[in-house]
Amino acid sequence: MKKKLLSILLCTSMIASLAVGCGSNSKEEVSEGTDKSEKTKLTFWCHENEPWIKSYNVMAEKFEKEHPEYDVEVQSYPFKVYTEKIQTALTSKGEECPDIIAVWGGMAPAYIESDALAAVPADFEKELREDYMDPTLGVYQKEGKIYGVPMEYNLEYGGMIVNKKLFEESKLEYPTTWEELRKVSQEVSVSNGDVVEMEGFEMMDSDSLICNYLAMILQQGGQYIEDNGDINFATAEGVKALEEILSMVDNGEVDLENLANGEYCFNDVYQDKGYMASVGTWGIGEGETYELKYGEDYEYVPVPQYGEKMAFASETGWGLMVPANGANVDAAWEFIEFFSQPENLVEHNIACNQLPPRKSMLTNETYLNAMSDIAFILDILPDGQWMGPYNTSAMRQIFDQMFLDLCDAKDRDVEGALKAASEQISSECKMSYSMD
Amino acid sequence: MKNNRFVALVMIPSVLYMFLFVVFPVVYGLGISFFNYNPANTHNTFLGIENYIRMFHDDTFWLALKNTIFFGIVALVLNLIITLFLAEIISVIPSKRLKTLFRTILFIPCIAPVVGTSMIWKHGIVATDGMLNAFLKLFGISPHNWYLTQGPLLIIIIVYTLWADLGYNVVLFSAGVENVPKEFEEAAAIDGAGPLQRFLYIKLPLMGRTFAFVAVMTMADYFQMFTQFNIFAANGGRNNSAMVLTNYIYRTSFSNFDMGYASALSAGLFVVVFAVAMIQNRLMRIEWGYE
Amino acid sequence: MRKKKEKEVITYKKHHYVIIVFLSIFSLIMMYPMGWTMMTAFKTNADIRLNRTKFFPREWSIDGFITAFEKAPIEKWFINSVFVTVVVTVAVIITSTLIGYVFAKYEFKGKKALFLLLLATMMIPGQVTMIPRYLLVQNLHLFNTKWALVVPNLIGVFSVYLAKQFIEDVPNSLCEAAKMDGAGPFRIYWSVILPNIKPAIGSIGIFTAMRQWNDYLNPLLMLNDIDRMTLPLGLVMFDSQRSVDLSATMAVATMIMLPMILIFLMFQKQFIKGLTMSGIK
Repeated sequence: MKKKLLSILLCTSMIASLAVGCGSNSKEEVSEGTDKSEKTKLTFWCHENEPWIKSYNVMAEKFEKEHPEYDVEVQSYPFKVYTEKIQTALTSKGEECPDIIAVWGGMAPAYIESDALAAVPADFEKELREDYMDPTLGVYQKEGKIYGVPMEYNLEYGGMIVNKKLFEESKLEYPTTWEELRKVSQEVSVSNGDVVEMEGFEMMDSDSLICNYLAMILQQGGQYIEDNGDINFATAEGVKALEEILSMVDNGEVDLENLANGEYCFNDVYQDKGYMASVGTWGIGEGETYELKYGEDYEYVPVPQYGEKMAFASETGWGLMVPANGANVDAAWEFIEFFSQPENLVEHNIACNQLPPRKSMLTNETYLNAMSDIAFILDILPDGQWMGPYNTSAMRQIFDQMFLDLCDAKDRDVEGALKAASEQISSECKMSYSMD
Repeated sequence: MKNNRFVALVMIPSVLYMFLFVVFPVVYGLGISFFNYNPANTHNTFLGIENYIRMFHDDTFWLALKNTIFFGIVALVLNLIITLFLAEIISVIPSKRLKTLFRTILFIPCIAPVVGTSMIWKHGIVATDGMLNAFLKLFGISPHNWYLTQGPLLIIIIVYTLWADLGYNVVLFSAGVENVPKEFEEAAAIDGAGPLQRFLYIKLPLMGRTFAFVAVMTMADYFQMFTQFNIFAANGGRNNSAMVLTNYIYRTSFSNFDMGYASALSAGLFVVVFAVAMIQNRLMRIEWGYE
Repeated sequence: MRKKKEKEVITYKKHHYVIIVFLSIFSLIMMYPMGWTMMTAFKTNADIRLNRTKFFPREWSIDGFITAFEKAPIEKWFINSVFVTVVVTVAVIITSTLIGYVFAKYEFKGKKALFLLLLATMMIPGQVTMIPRYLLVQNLHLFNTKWALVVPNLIGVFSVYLAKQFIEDVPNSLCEAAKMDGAGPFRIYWSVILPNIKPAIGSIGIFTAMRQWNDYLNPLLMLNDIDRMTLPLGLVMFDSQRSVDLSATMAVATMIMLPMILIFLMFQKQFIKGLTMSGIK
C-alpha cells in the first residue's frame, strides 16, 4: 500500500516534470509596454563602483532629457555576486529581467553562449565594426553577429598606483626600469611569516597577475598562443617570466592575500600598506573611496617595461548587453546607441578613468585634455594584441590556482605546472562559439 | 475520531501543496539532471546519464563529498561531546539563576544570524590581522594567511560552527540532564562510580530520546550547511579544500548555470543524506528509552 | 501551574567554584567576538587599520553607522525580514497544528502512508531541491518578490511532526467531551487543542522564526533587487561592496544581530522552555 502510493506519486510527478522541463522553453511573447501613457522604465544593471555608477546616472539623466518617454533606473550589485545575479536575471522574463546589463568581457562568453541575449541591430553593428578597436569587440562576436557594445578599451597592464607619501617619506624616486623596480620593491617591503606587512610592487591579484605575466612573455619576444589557438605558457620566455614573478613572493616583497581573497592590490597602496600596485586606469578613481587626493596622496605612473620591446595582451573590457527577454529591447538599444555616441562616451570614459574603445576617439581633444595623467597609456595602445578567444575569468581561475600551488611547492616544476595549466585552459576555457 | 469532510478539507490542500513544493521539485530536479540544462537556452539537449558519468569522474565532487562527510562527522561528534559536557556541568551548579545565566550566554551566538557571525569571524578572527594570528603570536607563531591554507580553513569553519551552534544543544540537553532522577546517580556514587562513569553509564542512557533527537537534528543540519561555507570559502577555498557539496551545487548551478550537472550533484547529495539517515536510524534503534 | 517562591538552598562546594570559574571564562570567550563587533562599529577605519584586534575604540565615532544608513537601505531590509518572518511563522503555526491535529486525532484511509511520506520529505535537504524550487518560483512569477520567500515555506514538515506529537498527548476524552457538546472540528481545534499545546506552539514559532530570520540561501537565490532583500543577504551585499569599510560593515552586522538578541533576552525564559520542549518530545 505504502509502496504503491509512493510509486504513483513519483510517476505522476515524473511525467509532470518532464512535461514542464521540455515544454517550458517556448519563449513567451512579451508585450511591449509602450502603449501605456506612463513613462517606460528601463532598468540598467551595473556593478558596484562609485565613480562608474555616478557616470551611469549622469548618462541616464541626459538620455531622459532627450527622450522624456523613458525613465532609466540604475541598479548596482557587488562585483562578487554580479555574475550570479546576471545569470538569474537572464532566465527571468518581462519586468524582472533588466533591460540593459553592463558586463565585463571576461565573463561575457558565459552569457553570449546562451540564447539569452539580443543581437546588436544591423546598422549599429556596422558602426561597431568600423570604428571599434579589435580587442574591444573580441568575445562579443558570435556567428557573425555582435552581442555587446564595448564601453572601453580594457588594459590591465601598463600603469601602477603609487603611494606618493610613502615614497616621499623614504626619500625614493618612482622606479623607471625593471631593475630599479625590483630593487625598490625589495628595499621597502617588510614581511612577517606568511604575511607581508608592507608590500613592495604588487601584481598579486586576479586582474593584474595574468596580464603582467602575458606582457612579460610578449616583451621578451615570446608568444603564449599557438597557431591552432591553443595556449602554451611552457616556453622558455614563459618559464623565465613566471620565475621572475615567483621570486617576488619568495623574497617577501608581496603576499598572496589579495589573490586568495579576490581583492585588489591597489587597496593596500591606498591603505598605506603597499608602495606600488599594478592596475588598469580605472583603479585611479577608487582612491576616492579612501578620501585620498590624486597627485597629493597617490599617483598613476608607468610600470617599467620588463623586456626589450613594449608588448602586452588585452582582453575585451566592459560592455553593454541587452537580454532578449527584456520588456523593452528596442528602447534598450536606443539608450545604448545614445551612450555610445563619441560625445557622450567620452564623458563616461573620463569619469571612469577608462580608455576609449573607438578609434575616432583616440584623438579626441576633450579626452586628451582631461586625461593627461594617463597619456603614457594611450602611447602604448598600438603595441597591444588581443588576449584570445577565451573565457578569461575561467582562465584566471586556473592560472591563479597553479600560481598559488607553485608558491607553496617545495620542489618547483615551473615548466611542468605551466604545461598542465596551458592544457587545462586550452581544453576548458575556449569560447564555445565561433566568432564569424 | 472520524470526520472525512474535515480531514479532506485540511489534508487535500496540504498534500497538494507538499506535492508542488517538495515532491515535485525532487522529481523535477531528477528530470533536469538528464539534460544539459540552462534555463536561458531555448534548447536543452538530452544527455541521458552523461551528467552522472561526469560526476563519477569529477575530482571536485569527490573532494566535496569527502569534505562534507568530514565536516558533518567531526563537527557533530565535537558538538555532542562539548554540549553534553557543558549541559552537565551547568546542571551541577546549585544556583538556578547562574544556570540560566550561563545557558543564556551560550545561546546568544545561536540567536544571531549565521551570516552576521560568520562575517565577524571572517573579519575579526580569521583575517591576517585578526585575533587568531594575534593569539598565535603570544606563542611566538608567525602569522598565517588562513584563506590560503588547505586543511586549517576547514578546521576553522568547524570551530566557527561549534561556537555558533553550541548553545542550542546545551539548552536541549539541559532538560534531559536534569530530568534524570537524582537517586540513580546517588546510588551509583555509593557503588564507587566516578563522575564520568556515572554520566556515561547512567545519565546518557537515561536521556536516550533527547540524545537521539539532538543527534539526528544536528546531523541533518550539518550535512546541509551552506552559509558559512559561502562566506568563508565562496570559491571552495584553496584547491577546493573547503568545498562542500551544498556550495559546489550552488556554484555549479548559479555561477556557471550548469543546472543539469548541478542537479546530478544534488542527486548525489540526496543519496549521501539518505544513507546517513539510514545509518543513524540503525544506530538510534538501540533501546535506550526509560519510559 | 502553581508557582512556588521557595528560597534556593545553596550550598557551594569546591567543585562548584571550579565549574563557575571555568564557565565564566568560557562565556567570556564566547561573547568576545560579539562585543568586539559592537565596539568595532564605533571605531574609525583608521583606528581599525592600525590595530584590528583591539577591543575598545581609541576614539568613539558613529561614522560607521552613518555610512551604513547612507549607503544601505537597512530599514527596508529590516521591514522585509520582519514581514517574511512574521507571515511564515504565523502560517507555519496554523498549518502545522491543523495538520498535526488531523494526524493525531482523526482516522482516515491512507493516514499511515501519508504520514510516512511526510516524514520521508523531512530527509530531503533543501539544497537538493534548490534548483527546481528556483525554477518553480520563476515560473510562478514570484521571483524577486518577498512572496518568493513566503509561498514555498508555508508548511514545515518538522513542525507538523512536533505538533502531532504534542497533540497526541491531549487526552481524547477532552475532544470527545467537546464533541458531545456539539463542537465541530474547528471548534475543538480552537478551544481544546490549541490551549493545550501552547508550549509546542511556542517552540514551533521559535524554530520557524529563527530559521526564517536567519535564512540566507533562499533570499540569495530568489531576490535580485537590493531594496527587496532581507537583512542577512543585505549584510553580505554590503560587505562585499565595502569590505574595506570595516567600521560600517560591523555597524550593519551589529544592527542585524541586536534585534534578535534583544528579543531573545526579553523572552529568554519562554525561549529556552519552548526549545527544551522540542527536545524532550
